[in-house]
Amino acid sequence: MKFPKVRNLRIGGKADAELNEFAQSMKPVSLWADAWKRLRKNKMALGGLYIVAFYVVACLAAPILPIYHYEDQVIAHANLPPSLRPAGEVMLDTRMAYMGKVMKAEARTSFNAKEQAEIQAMKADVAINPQHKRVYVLGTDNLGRDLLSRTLYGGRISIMIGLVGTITATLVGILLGSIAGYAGGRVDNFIMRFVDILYGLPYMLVVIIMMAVFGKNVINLFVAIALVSWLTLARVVRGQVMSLKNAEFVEAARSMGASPARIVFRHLTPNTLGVIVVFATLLVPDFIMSESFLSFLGLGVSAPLASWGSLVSEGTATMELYPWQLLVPAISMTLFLFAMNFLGDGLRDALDPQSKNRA
Amino acid sequence: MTDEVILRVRDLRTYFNTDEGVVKAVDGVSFELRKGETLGIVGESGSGKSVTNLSIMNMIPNPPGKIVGGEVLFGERDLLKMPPREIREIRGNKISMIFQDPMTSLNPFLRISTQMMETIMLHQGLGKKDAKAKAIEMLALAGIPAPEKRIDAYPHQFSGGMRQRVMIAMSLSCNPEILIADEPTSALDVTIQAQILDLMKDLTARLGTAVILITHSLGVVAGTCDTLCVMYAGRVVERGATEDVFAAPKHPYTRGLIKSVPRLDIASDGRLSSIQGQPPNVIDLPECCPFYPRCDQAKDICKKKYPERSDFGNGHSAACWLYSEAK
Amino acid sequence: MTRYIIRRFLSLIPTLFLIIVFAFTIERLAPGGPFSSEKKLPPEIMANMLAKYHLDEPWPQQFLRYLGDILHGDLGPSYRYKDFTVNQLIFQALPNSMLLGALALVVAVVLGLGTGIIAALRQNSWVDYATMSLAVIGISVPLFVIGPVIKMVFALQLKWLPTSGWIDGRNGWIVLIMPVITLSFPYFASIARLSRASVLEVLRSDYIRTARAKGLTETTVIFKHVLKGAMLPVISYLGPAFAGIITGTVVVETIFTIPGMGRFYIQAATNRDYTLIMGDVIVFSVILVLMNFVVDVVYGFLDPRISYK
Repeated sequence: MKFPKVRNLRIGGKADAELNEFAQSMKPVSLWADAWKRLRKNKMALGGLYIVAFYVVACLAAPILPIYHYEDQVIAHANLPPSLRPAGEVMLDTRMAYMGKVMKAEARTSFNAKEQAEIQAMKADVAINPQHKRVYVLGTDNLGRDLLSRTLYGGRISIMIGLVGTITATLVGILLGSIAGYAGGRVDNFIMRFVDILYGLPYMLVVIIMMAVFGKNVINLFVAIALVSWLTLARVVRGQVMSLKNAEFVEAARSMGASPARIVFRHLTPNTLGVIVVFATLLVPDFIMSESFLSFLGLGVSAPLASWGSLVSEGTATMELYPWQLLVPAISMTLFLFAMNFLGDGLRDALDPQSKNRA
Repeated sequence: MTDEVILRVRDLRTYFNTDEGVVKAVDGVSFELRKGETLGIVGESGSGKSVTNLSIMNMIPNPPGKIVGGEVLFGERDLLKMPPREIREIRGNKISMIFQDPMTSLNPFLRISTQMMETIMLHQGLGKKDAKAKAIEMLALAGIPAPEKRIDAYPHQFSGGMRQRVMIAMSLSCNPEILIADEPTSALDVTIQAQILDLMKDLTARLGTAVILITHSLGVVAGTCDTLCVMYAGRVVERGATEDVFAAPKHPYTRGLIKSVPRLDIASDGRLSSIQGQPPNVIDLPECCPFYPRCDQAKDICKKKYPERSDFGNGHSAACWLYSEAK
Repeated sequence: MTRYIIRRFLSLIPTLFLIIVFAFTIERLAPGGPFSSEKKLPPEIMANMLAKYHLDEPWPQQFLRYLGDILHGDLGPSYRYKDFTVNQLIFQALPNSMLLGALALVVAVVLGLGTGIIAALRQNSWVDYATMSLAVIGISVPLFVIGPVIKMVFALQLKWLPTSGWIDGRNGWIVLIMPVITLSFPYFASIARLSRASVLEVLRSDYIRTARAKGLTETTVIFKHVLKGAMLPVISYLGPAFAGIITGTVVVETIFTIPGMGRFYIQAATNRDYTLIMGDVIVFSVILVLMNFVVDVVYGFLDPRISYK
């Protein structure tokens, strides 16, 4: 419905542009454009965004990258430290270093015949066998599997679980939250009591039980986690919907005959979208942490699949002798979570600089 | 109202550093306040009225704001140059301030008694019992029924009007020389507004307190103020005794303001009159009279230089090129 | 106020009930059972054992029996450790976990609040950036990464602290340092961020402006006016924080080999010792629910808008 333009009706008056020469600029800026501008200024958040993007691309592209397969075991190459030199050399060096220690412990100054023979055999093998030309940039694990590859594939699993889980939890949360908020009354009460009760449960423990009882596969894993992750989002959405429900623009829409569904989708949701985006972004690291937690305890992803959590778990067992087996997955995961948290914080600042929803 | 000047504000300038530029919220404001006088500061939103007040008490948050120039002479001393310890002795004690929204201006977590007594005990050195008695006395003066019972309540147990009465009682409890009231009634219902204004008038007359009353309503000014300053874009464009200014407004902006108040006693042609255009954005204003785009009597010189002040006698002055010639 | 307390208390009941129902259901639904890992037993013996554990009765009856047992404080026999009841096992391990959890909570709250408040008061200074960076680490790095790394650095490399074990004849309180620090770290981080944001927000509020306008010293303003309001979100957070700490004990006890309920829980889960799992869950939940209740009551006391309706 178009309204006629109201002109200044004074005879001899000035034109609008002249009058408002000094006036506050009325250029409409959409919420998103404004937020993007603010986000760009936040260097940490921007850094987070780039890192996250890099990870997502790298992990998704893993199958097509020129890296060794994550299941590929070369026992001879077990437990090699990270190096840019070919595996053959590293293998030799490690072995010789170990033999040197034995030598010292036995108070000798040179290798005995058996050791020398072994070294010769290894050198010969290295010269012939092309396998020894491999380069393990991030080292190998106890079965000779490339850690770089395992970390990338692990990332794939972890990130996918994080994303898919977050999306599910978000959708459920939005659905239930909007219904509760808009319907109010008994429906609202019922849903919120339900949320309260679930909130009171030590849900991780519940998830552990479910994994133990119903078997450890990825589907169970992420159903179990998703089952309890929608709570906060539902609460937040409900809060937003309730406060907006009575706002004047909703009255206006209603008075123009808009149906409730239309009101919810076209008017309320865009306003709550900002908050939803922020919470969803912060839910991803949560999900990944939960999944890793379970995998660490042996209740998540199982071999031969790897996720960051299971890799860290394996690394913990061997960290005394081979620290990189813990550090590589640990640092990779930590970096990603860092980046996501900075991004989430930045988004929150950008979309609502006076936000009270901080924790 | 006597002739003794207790507060002199001279060429006060307060600027804010924002992402979009330097906001010159207060750009050369001067006025004087006499003992017992009620001075009104009128202007639209964004004219700099509230910032002026906060500047007087040196309460501008820094960053992003800074008082970059001018003096505020209270007696002999410049408030802007006082060290924090000394100015704290003035605040709440010799100069008090009350704010617009009584809902949020009182600490919801502390009782009224606590909040009132702390000022009294701090500035007047009274013990707890005496301070409480004094606080109850002030509440009674402010028209709160059964004050000895209600003083131990929390702010949320009072209505809006009551809370503002509490604020007034609290601010006057140390018998200050000046009370600065920043739009004290704007957040209240119209009927309560009248009561609160009457209360303020009554109490300040009794205690001999001078008042700086900030408001956007000319009606309030007409009813309560002895003198008034009209502010626009961070400057005082006209000032003088209320009667003089209302009877013969000199600055086109003031005229526009007065004309825009609908009146029942003048036959009108059915249209409401208003000042055309929007208030200015005070970032990067060029050197000119900031009102000229909206002024229907603007001359060429108005676009180039800020007008000089012209005096009309009895303290009535205005800054407008209509009354002075460029030199 | 009393009505508020009563209402809060009553709301505990559905939660606990739901947990018990859930525990029971899972136990009955779970594949395998108490005897599945043993060799195939002849049917008569099976029937006897089923009768002994009342597993042959219809479910509603079993449930009522279970409920009755619980209300009497009897959590049933362990399926795995045939000589012990769940009660015995749990109450052996519970004090250890409680000690660990309680210490972690105290450390998190004290350090978190202190850091957060200081960071807020010295906003944008190096103190602020340093502490908040530490806090981001705390919430981003999972417990099971922090734990091993701390262990690696302090126990294995620097050899300052013992690698594992609990308080007994040989080890004193020093054994507590690493697990408590590990467990408290994420919650210290959250509380630090939360209290910083909360203090900053209160500092911007109108009533603080009023307090300053009254000429109060900055110290008075902060300690008398700011603190009370700023604390509230932190108090609210204590409930979920404690829930997290309970969950965290599972990991921390595993890493530092502490004989607590968390470790039992994992072992029970992997061993499918259902009664033990259920017992654990119920005990944990009761503790958590009580803790939430206490938090609610404390919050009610601190916020006069609730206690003086």
